[in-house]
Amino acid sequence: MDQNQNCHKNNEFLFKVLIIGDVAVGKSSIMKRFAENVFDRKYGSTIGVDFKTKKLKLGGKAVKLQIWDTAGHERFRSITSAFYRGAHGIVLVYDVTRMETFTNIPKWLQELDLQDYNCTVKILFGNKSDLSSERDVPRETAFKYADSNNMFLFETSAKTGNSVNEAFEHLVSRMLVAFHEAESTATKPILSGDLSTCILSEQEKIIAGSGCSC
Amino acid sequence: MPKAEYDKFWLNVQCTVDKDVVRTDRSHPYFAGNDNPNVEIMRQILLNYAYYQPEMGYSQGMSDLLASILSTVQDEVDAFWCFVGLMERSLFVTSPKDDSMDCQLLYLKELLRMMAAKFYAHLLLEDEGMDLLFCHRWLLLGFKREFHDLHVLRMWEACWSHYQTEFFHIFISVAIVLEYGDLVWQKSMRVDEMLNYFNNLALEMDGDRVLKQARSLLYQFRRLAGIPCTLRGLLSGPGAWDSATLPEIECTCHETSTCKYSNPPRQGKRFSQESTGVSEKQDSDERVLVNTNGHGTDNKPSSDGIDSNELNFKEHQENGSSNLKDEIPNEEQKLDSSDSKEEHENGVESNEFDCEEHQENGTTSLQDETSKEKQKVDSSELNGQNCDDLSPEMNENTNLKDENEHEEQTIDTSEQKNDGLSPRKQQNLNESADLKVEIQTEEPKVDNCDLTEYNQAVDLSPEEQQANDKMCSSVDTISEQVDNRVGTTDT
Repeated sequence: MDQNQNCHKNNEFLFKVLIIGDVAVGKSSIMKRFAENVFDRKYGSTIGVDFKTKKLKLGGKAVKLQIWDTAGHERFRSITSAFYRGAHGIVLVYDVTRMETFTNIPKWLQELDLQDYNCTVKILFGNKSDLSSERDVPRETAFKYADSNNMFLFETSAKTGNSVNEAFEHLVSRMLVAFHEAESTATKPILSGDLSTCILSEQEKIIAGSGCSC
Repeated sequence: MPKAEYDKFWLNVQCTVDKDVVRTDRSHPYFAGNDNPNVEIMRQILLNYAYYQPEMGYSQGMSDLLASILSTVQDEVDAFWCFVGLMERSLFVTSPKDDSMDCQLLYLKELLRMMAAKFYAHLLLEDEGMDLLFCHRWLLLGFKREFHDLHVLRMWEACWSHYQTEFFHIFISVAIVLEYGDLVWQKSMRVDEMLNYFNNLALEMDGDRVLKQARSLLYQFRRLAGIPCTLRGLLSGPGAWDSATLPEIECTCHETSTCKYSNPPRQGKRFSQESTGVSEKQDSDERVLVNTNGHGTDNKPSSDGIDSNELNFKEHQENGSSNLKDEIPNEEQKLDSSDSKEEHENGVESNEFDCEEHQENGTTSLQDETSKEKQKVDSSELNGQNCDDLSPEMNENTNLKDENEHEEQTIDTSEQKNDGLSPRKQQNLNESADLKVEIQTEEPKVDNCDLTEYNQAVDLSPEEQQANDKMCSSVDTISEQVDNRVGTTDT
């Protein structure tokens, strides 16, 4: 697969990850917390796209992540649709203090289905978990939903940094699995976009398991 | 709209506005601090606007545009109507239709093809390079996040004047690419690296330099004898072309069934796909000669400019803003004054004064500024003297203030020529005024040579083309000599 050839060069994996979700759920903050370990509540709204890279080592493998931060407002969705192409991982973000951002997750999933992508690994972030007094999305509801949609869920806080790294590491481990899966099935004519073809191996589950709550 | 849908629309607008106002320009003194009442004013204006224009509603980015207006006007009612006007009149603001964005990107691509050939060639090599991701924000926010406030307002004013084109922002975009984009093709950046590179340039770029370059590009474009059909739309609008000769429209899209400019094919087509290899050196030389050529055409009646400014003022009064008619006589003087150094200095002072007034009073209407900006552009165009003459930095860099008029112009020409050089060389040149004198002894030859090439460019027979090629190679040789000399002096 081209996608796999592109993402493995010089013994370094290069993965493209998109962060999507409703307005002001903290997409840019998550990206900046993970890539630069900073937080500033004065980030302006994202217009068009932004982009950061982060290198990390996981299970002895060097991985370079390209993190694309997209605009949450629907006005820019036609522009952002171009960015779905070639993505290896999708981070869906909602805000635990606003239920509507959680109920919109299926809409974002629907939009993903409209895009042309291959075996993209999806992960769900419930951001702003530090605002426990304002919580609007019950933890159980969210985990149940994630489970039924075959996604992993992490409740994160870009403000405190809680679980952000773990969540991304989990995503990377799943993308590595998906990569190897795709490599081993490269002879097959089509690799389905369905997540079921990217099943975690037992070994990778161990790597991934540390931050997973479901 | 059914009630349920309407409620949902409002909930969506309110939620987005609420989230955006608290994170828009909060480091700006006017919006800084907790519970700042101006943030609430911004919120009210945006909600009112969404109610006033429900088909536009609220789009992310509007708060950015409003913040600049509100912090300048500092009055809720005036700021609201200014904002309404901005949304109505400007093509570069967030548009409800994506096709207008596509249209802008098309113009940008075409202008890049003509004016930044190497950059364009690099874009062609990259997958998805033609999406021009790096400039979406430029266009959507009118460079709001790329430059500091004062420069952004100047650029908006320049755009709002609609002087000769309604798409001046496209020229600004090309100017950014020309000023800062060389590294992109030199380092063969991929699309994502390109995006990163330009994003990191935000608030680091010199707005004055870019604006000067953009004016120069517009002037250059306007003087072309022929333009490709794909850029026909750049001629639209009330301010387009004035009484200038209309250029020939040449079909380059090759859509013979739909393009009305598809026949007959002209000889020596300047902007056909094959001729995009025009080197940047030539481009920059053309820029020099265009300005040189323009010099001396200042007998064009300057009253044109004044009339249109008066119209602007009338329109302005109708909008309920302050009257600046009193300033017209002063501005008129500025228009009439052209070549003497003293007048240049006036221009500089006035320029600085504008900034101070802007900052201290904060009440100067944006549209008033537009008129002034327009006059400045008019002035530079009418005089054929580069707009650069108004630049404070330029005067600082030039140690020849006491020299006569002729020498000053020549130096300006060499200064303009430097635009095509690498930043290092440009710096070298700026550092040594003496060197400029040396260079200018050779410059006129370059100009004259290229002028001939330029004037004949559109209708060239093969023999003429050959002769021109020779000329251009001699131009290159001379330019190299100049470059070498610069290098020698540097070491």
